[in-house]
Parts: sequence; structure tokens; C-alpha cells
Amino acid sequence: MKTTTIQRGIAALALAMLVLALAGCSGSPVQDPFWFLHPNGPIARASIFYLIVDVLLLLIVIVPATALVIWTFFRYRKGGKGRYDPTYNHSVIVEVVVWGVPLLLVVVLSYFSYQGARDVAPFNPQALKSAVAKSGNKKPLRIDVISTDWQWLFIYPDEGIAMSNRLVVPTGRKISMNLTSATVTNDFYVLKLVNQIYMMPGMRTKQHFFVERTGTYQGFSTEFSGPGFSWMNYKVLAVTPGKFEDWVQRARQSGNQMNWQDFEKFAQPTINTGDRWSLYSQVQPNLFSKLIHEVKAGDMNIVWPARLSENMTTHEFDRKFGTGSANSDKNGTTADHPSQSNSD
Amino acid sequence: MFMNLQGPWDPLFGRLPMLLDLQYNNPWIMFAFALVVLGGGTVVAALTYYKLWGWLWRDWLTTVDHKKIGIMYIIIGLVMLFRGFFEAAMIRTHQAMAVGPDSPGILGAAHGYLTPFHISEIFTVHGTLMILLAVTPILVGFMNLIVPLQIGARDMAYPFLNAVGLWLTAMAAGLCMVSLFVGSFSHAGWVGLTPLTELDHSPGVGVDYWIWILQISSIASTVGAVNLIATMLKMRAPGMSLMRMPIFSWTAMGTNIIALTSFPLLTVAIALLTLDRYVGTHFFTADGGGNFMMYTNLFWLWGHPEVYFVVLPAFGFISEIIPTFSEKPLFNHTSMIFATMMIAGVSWLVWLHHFFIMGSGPQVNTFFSIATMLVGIPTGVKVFNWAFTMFRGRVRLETPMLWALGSVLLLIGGGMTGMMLAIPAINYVSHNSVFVVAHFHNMFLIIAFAIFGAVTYWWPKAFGFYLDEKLGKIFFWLFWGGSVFVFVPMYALGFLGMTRRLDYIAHPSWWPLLMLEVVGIALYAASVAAFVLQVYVSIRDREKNRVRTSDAWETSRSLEWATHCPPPFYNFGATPIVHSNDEWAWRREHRLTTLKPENYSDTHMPKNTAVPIVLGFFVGLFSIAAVWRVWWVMGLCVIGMIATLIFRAFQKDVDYVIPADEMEAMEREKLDQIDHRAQDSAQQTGEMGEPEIDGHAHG
Ligand code: HEM
Ligand SMILES: [Cu+2]
Repeated sequence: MKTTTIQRGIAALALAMLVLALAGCSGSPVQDPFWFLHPNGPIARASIFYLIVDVLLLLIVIVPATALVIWTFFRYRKGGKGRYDPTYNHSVIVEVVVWGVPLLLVVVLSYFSYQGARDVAPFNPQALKSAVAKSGNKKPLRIDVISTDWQWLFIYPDEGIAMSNRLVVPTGRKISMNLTSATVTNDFYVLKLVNQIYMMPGMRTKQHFFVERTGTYQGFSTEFSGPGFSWMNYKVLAVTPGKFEDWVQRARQSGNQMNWQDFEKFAQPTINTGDRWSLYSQVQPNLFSKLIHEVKAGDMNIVWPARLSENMTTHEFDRKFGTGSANSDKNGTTADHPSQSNSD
Repeated sequence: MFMNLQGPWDPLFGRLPMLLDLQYNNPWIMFAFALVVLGGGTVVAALTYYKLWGWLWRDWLTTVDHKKIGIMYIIIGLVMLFRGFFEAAMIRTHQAMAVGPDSPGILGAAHGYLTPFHISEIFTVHGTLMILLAVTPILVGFMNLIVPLQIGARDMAYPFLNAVGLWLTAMAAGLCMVSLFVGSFSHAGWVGLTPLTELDHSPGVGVDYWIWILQISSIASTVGAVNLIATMLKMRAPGMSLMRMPIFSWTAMGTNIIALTSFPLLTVAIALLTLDRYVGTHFFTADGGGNFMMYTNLFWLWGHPEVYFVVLPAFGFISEIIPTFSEKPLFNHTSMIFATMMIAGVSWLVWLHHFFIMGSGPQVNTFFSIATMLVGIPTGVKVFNWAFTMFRGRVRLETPMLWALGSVLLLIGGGMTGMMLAIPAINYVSHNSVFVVAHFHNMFLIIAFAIFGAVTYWWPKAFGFYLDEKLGKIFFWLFWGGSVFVFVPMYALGFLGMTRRLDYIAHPSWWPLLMLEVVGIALYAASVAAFVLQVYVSIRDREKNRVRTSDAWETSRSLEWATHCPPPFYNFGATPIVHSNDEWAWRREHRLTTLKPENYSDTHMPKNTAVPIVLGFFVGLFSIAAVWRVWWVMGLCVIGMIATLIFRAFQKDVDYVIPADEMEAMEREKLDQIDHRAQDSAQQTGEMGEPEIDGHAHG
């Protein structure tokens, strides 16, 4: 009777796994932007490569361990077939194997760990080298990324333009980013494309990536940063270099400004921009480094209201922060979509 | 005072006038409030009705008996576990509701039924209390209850300190309950993400509640560790060398070494944060020369050892249960001890894996990656040794064994995902996703499974009767089902890219998996009911389920089974002499299972004292006053604490001696009872119920 309970348990488990696998893969995962196993750039691909290597190597220990636990259990049930020998409580051979094999495994994994860490090191990823070489060693596109409560600002310093709550990048060119935050820590992540990196107030981190295919990707913050955190989603559009140039030209005509005063306004708490974005044709040249200095000097005074959350309803958010509408310029939202034909 | 606070502050009431702004119109708060009042009210009413206050005060609240202290720790932990489960259920159901821009919102929320602040409070309090006020007290409780028995001690090294630890923990739990209704809780995650916890971003009292809960329970764990380590080093029974110490006690040793060395770090980190918030220093701010990543380092320098602090005793439970129900000694005993201590040692070198993505270079990250993977080695060794313990054994599937085996299987999964996260290249795509959440819940489930195994295993020892087997098995399968349904989809969602700590789910394609998790929560809810029912039925039928001999499972191996069930307050009639690693199994083999020693001697015992609970009262009041910044009450409480300690220092009459003849009389009575029971059951079954002997093979 006991065995059947267990068997039933195992059967139920297997069924659950199957259902889950199906539910997880519904639709083609390649088109689903939410499936980090389908990388679209060298960095994300390197990560997945190490994931697979790691899992395969781990299985060398995991499979025998699981099998052994289950087999001994069934074999040596009381009243079962197994021979009872309570004096068998030590074995040097077993000891050597159970310490030795995992140790060897960790040695091998350590090698891969180091290679992986170098390949995707945010400040200087080796994985980009060959892609960059193949693409003709174009000058990297620089982007300064700033997170606020709870919006994004992407500055293209060389182009002198900026965009909020949406990122547009060209394919086939290395992109190098500087990142910081205006208030609390966020974590920059574009699924399938760019690995995570902290964005910390008063500090600068770097990240690099390279897009191979045009397409729309999802960017978001993964480090909890307060009540607007869940709505910090934005789209990343990867377009061909030609389209990107066109887009830059259009952005230059948008007529919006992002000077320090504008930024201070922009950085006030704002929740849920609802896929609304703005283009800025003019950006104060040192905005990024000025922000770092101001934060360090304690001059970014963004103080949240004291509140007792029980009566902090969404309506109050509306009043205080203007939920649902970024202080984006209405003109900005009507600017041309950089590319309509970017699905692959 | 000191700080530029938002909202009102006055010298008499501190920040309490803020409460006047608060409308208690949230049904969830009202529901929780009603539940607590109802539960607490019932207990108070029952105590009054049955006139039990005196008994409670004399026998429990002022006790220094390690077994009662242990049981009280476990009760606190189970109550908090229960509360934590409610929060888990709220997070899961809210998230399943708040999917996609068109999802409905009720009770003032735009989506789902919890507003952004409210849900962040809930996940913060869930993490904080599950780790520090549920799992930790339960484990500390078991160490208190079992370790002295296992090492043949009559008492602990510092019984007074032990009681202080208990009452501090109780105060932390109390503070957590108060925060539910009076004010708010931190919203910055259980790890207290800086600079989010700084006054600029968390101007309310929530973070202060969180700070004082952490601070008090951290000090409680430190003093508890001092006591347990001293007890194990100095009070082992004659003949018990360190290497003969039972494996659970060894894991307790490893754990408490971790506690003693790491909790002070938390104390310091939290104290610095407290200064930032209360007097305006700049330790962890982004401005003023502060370095908030220093907090992250300090926190995880404690935080990672803390996760091994909670897992080692669980490994200890498993290592006690599997040999008992395999009727065979633990395989490679020495190697298991070594593995335990290695885990404890390496736990110090891995903290940076919690923020690989901070931007450190590949060399630094690789160092911590390798250190992290090293932990996997002794963990794997343990799994193999447990399997080899069953190998050539006679495995019985009583409930404790079921929990232990479930735990081992979970360990394989959790260890594997841990080893995945330990590779920086993988961590960069999975950090802060629900994959991490699934990983550490998987690890904590190992602990939960081991705890329920331990509850079933040692219940007859502590109370003298068994827990109901049938309901226990139902409980197990429901709990197992819940775990599968909640956490397998969660792993999948991690791969899909779902971030942790979300209040609103932007992507409708995740909805089916979120619903499966709700199914899991339903199973968990049923399992809670089964557990409550199990305890109730077992207590109701306790006469039927009495333990007959000292050895409830008949194949137990260590010294705690060499005394009565439940053990008398002096633990052993006479200090036992130890001959072997598995002393009780050795005695069984040599047919020395009688509990009657050759002679009795005078025994020295500590007296009950009200000082710890009084001290606890001052600490509790101090922390509430600190949360609301009522400086004068804080001052009075400090004076009160000092006065209490001075009073204690001058107390001379703190212990007494049980004379040998009195001891003999008490023991004789107990031994007679055992004889009666043995005779009764012999009449029923027609045999003498003699336990089977190891080494006496059947086939
Ligand atoms: C022993 C029981 C364990 C427990 C209780 C545990 C618990 C935790 C917790 C609570 C976190 C994340 C906390 C947070 O970010 O809020 C975590 C993360 C992590 N754990 Fe474990 N863990 C355990 C074992 C392991 C093992 C054996 C490994 C590796 C061999 C491991 C590797 C990791 C890694 C690398 C992370 C960081 C993931 C990330 O944040 O990106 N853990 N664990
Ligand atoms: Cu860790």
C-alpha cells in the first residue's frame, strides 16, 4: 500500500512537469520575447552556453545521486529483497568517490566559470570580440542610461539626442553603455539581449552588447526600487544601421530639450508611463556626469512622502505622482515609429 | 528630534500622532486584526477560565529548563510560520490576479487587490519573519530541546542566558505582530535594499520596525549561540569525546559557530543603518560620502552564513532520522562531521554571489563563484552518505522518514539550481528573477521538510505520545504537492524572465503558470489544515498513543532516547556514561537498556527566574518606543534594563540541589510507570515488547 502511494505521487509529479512544460512553451518560444533561453546577441548567447555546459556537467553527479537514493530506498525496504547488514557503515572507497568526483567536477566547473565570467564581463566582455571584428570594427555607439523613480532616460552623447522610456539601437554595431541612477539602485536588463548590471546612484557602471537581428525586445529593471518598480517596462527596438540614422535625424527635429532643470522635473516620482516615450533633440552635454556629482553632493532632493500604506490607494498615487501619464511631451509620443518592419 | 522627519513629532508621543492620519479601512488589515484578536482572546480567556495563569507563570514564563524553552521557541516559530503562510497566499493570489493591463483591481488597487506599498510590505515581512522569526526559532528550539539530551547533560551551560534569548526572540515576534496594525512595515525587501531603506526613500516607520526586529533577534541568536557552544564543549557526558558527539549536535555546533561569528556583523550593519536613520549619519547613503554597497556586503557577510545557519540543523535532523528508520548507523560518520564543518567554514567565503552583477571584474566574481561551488561538495557528500545509510538497511517508511526522504530529494534539486546560480555568466541572466526565489524556497523547503520530520520524530520524546501517522502522511503528501505546484512553475517563470517582487504582471502569457502556483497554495492550505488536525487528534487520543519505553521508535540510536518520554526536568536520573558513537544503539546491543542507574547522586539545578521575561519586556517596550521615536520611554527602558541586570547580579540564590534520595524516589515512580505500561502491552500482544537488536539479521 505504501509503495502505491509513492508511485502515485511520482506519477502525479511527472504529469505536473509535463503540463508545466507545455504551459511554459505555449506558442513558439523564439517569438516569445520572454524566454531567456533564446538569446539574440553574443553576450546573452554566451550565458546560455555556460548554462547548458553547467547543467550537463552537474548531471554527472545529480543523476547518480538521485538514482542511488531512489534505488536504495526501494531495494532496502523492510521486508524487501535487500540483504540487511548493519555493520556496513564505513567504506574508504565510497568516501574517496563521493568526495573526489564532486571535487573534480568543481575543478572543471571552475574553469568554465572563469571563462564565462570573462566572456560576459560587463565592463569588457570577450564574447563580443569576434562579432565586433566581423562587423568591421565600427566605432561603438555610446549610450548613457539613467534610471529615475520610475522612468528611463537613454542619452546618445555623440548624437546629442535622448529618448525616454524606449531604447533604439542599430544592429551590427557594438554598443557601450554607462549606467547610473538618480535615486535608488535599479538593475538594467534586456531579456535575450543584454545581461544584468546594477545601476547605482552616485556611481557609474558599464555594460556592452551587440545586436545581431532586428527586432523588438523587452527591457526592465530587476532590482526592486519602490512602488513604481513593476511598471518600469520599456521596449528596445533594434533596427538596421540605415534606419537608425534616419531615426537619429528625426529625433534631432523633435524640438524637445533635456537640460538639467528639465531632468530634475523628469526625475520626480512617476509611475507607469504606459509605453509612452519622448524624444529629445537637445541634451545638456554633461548631464550624466552632472547627475553623478549632484547625487554624491546630496543635491538630488527626491524625497518620498511618508505614508502608511494601508490607505495608500492608487487614487492617492494619481494625485501625488500622476499615475499613468509620464510627464512626457505629447509631441514626443507622436514621433515616428523608428521602424515598422523589424520583426524577424 | 535629530532628523528632519516628515509628519508630526512631539516630545511626549514621538511620531505616534501619525497614526491619527491612518484609516483602518483596509479589509485585509481588519481581517488579520480580527484573527489575531480572536486567537489571542481565546487563549487569554481559556487561561483565565481554567485558572492557568499561575501555572503558566511558574512553569513556563519564568522557566530556565532548556526543554521548555525549546518548546516555547518552536511554538513561536510555528505561529509565525502560520502567519507567513498567509502572506505567501496573498502574494500568490494577488499576482495571479494582477496580470495584464486589463486585469481588474479592487480595494483601491489598480490591479489585483493590493496596492503597491501594501504588497511590498507583505513580501518584506514574509521574508523577514519566515527566516528570522519562523525557521530560526524552530531550529534554535530543537537545538535547545535535543542537544543537552543528546550529550547527556542535566542542563545547559547558561540557562539564564538561554531564557533571555527566548524572550528577546518573543519580543521580536511581538514587534512583528504589532507592526501589522500599528503603522506600517518596511517595503524594501527582507534584505533591506539600501539606499531604499534610508530616510529619504522610506520616511515612514516601516523600516524602523524591520530594523528593530532584526536587531533584537540578532542579539538573541548571538547569546543563544554562546550558550549552546559552551554547553557542547563543557557539558558532554563522561565518555563522549567530541567525535562521539551525535551528528545532530555536531550540526548544532557548526550552526552556532556560524551564528556566533556572523550575527554580530548583522548587529553592526543594522546599527549603522539605525544611526543613518535616527541621527543623520551617512554610512549607507548615496550622498555625503556614504557607501551603500558596504551595507550590501555587510548584510550578505551575515546573510549567506545565515542560510547555512538554517540548513545545517536540518541536515542534522535528516542525519538522525535516516539511520533510525534504516536500522543502521549513519554511513561514514566522521566524513559527515567533516562535511558539516566544511560547509560552516566555506559559508564565510561566498557572500559576493548575491551581487555578482554589481560590476566587479571577472577575477573577483570567479573567486566567489568557485568558493560557492565548493559548498556543493560536502552537500553532495551528505546526500551520498544518506543513500549509503539506507544501503543494506531495513528501511521503514514511518512519517519522519517520509519527510527526511522528501528533504533529500529536494536537496538534489536545490543544490543543482544553486550550482547554476553560482556561475557568474548564468547569474547575469537569472539574478533577481523568480528563478532565484524558487532556488532559495527549494532550499528552505528542505528545512521545512526536515523540521516537520523532526517534529514527528521527537514529539514522542518531548510529550510521551505519538503524532497520528495517518494524518501525518496526508499532511506530507499535501505539503509535497503544494511544493511541486508552487515551485516548479516558479522555476519555469524564472526562465521566462519574470522578475521577483512584482506588484503587477505586465505579460499575460505568464498567467497559466501563475494559476498553477495558486493551485499549489491551495494544496498548502489543505496541508496546514491537515497538520492542525493531526496535532489535535493526537492530543485527543494521547492515551491510546502513549510511548511504552524510552525509545519511541525502537531503533533510535542516540542518547536522548536513554531517558523517559517526556524527560524529567533533570533530564537523566544519573549522568550517563558513554561508550560509543551511537550510545543508545550500543546499549541496546549489549542489553543495557534499563533506565535504572547503579546509584543516584545529588544534582545541581538552576532556579526559575522572572528576570529574563522582565528584561524582555523592557526590550520590547524600548523597541516600540524606538520605532515611534519616543525618546523618554526609550531612556526609561534602558534604565529598566540596567536595573534588572544589576538586580540579577546581586541575586545569590539562583540554584538548588536535588538530594540523591529525592531523585531516587522521583525516578522510581517513573520506572514503575514504565513497567506497568510494558506489562499492559505484554498482556495485549502476548509478548514483552522487547525492542529488536541491531545486527540480528532476519534474512
Ligand atoms: C543551504 C541552503 C541554502 C539556502 C537556505 C539558500 C538561500 C538562498 C537565498 C535566501 C538566496 C537569495 C536571497 C535574495 O537574493 O534575497 C540565495 C541565493 C543564492 N544561492 Fe542559495 N541557498 C542555499 C544553498 C545554496 C547552495 C548550495 C548554493 C550553491 C552551491 C547556493 C547558491 C546561491 C547563489 C549563487 C545565489 C545568488 C543568486 C542571485 O541572487 O542571483 N545556495 N540562496
Ligand atoms: Cu548565498
